[in-house]
Amino acid sequence: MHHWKEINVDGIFSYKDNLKIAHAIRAGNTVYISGQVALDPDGNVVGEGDVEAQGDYIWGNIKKVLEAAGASMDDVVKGFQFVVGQENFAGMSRARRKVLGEDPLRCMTAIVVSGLVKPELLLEVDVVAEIGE
Amino acid sequence: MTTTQTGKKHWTSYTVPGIWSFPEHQKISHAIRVGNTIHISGQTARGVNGEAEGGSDVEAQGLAIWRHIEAILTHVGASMDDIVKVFQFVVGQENFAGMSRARRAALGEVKPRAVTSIVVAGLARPDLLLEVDVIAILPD
Repeated sequence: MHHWKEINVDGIFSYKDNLKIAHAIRAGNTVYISGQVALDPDGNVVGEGDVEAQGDYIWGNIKKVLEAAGASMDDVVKGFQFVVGQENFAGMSRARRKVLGEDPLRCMTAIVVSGLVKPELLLEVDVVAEIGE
Repeated sequence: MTTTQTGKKHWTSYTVPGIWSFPEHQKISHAIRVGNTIHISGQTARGVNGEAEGGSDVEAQGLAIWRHIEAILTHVGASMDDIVKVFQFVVGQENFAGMSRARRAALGEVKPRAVTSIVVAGLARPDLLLEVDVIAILPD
């Protein structure tokens, strides 16, 4: 028995079978997730060419992963956003604000990258959540 | 001027005066403290007026960034000594050395930290050459 727990969620694209990557790990009250991209469960790109649509899909999956780990969007303390193309920064932020657009403010680190796992993917988002006692 | 917001109940979000911060509607804080752990938002050389401090010199930008990080950590009751992990995102491989010089100037040569550094395609604005993010752990 590990002192941390692997979280995997049905209905979300998973690397589990071939790459041994979990959707999330919960260690104590801290939840780390794997970077989420806009791939449907079959590996098809969602929202091709539209970073905001990809962001909406990604944040929807993050919510599901956090809930499966016993957390919620309220518990997100830190986010990392990796976006392809500086022109996609604004759309990336719009998608985030739909789910984290209220107080309290969260920590966020965002960078432009040269690419992600598939060329059609424009955004990858990763969060850390802290669950209350 | 200082906004300190309590999170759900178990964490606290901080906005630190005197450091550039995202527009209010972005809802991004400078730091969050949860227990003894401090997370920050990635810091760039943007001064309070929004322009990059240090111009096009990555080391100068880096020194500005580390000043911002020190101000944030001080504000939440931590210090540079409490930094356990550093993420550095630099634009242009030629800027790696200058980035590292700034880090060593800020954190010293003596106590090693866990550091991850990557070259990225860009940051929030084209004049920004470096973004630095840290995790700090306070003593019990």
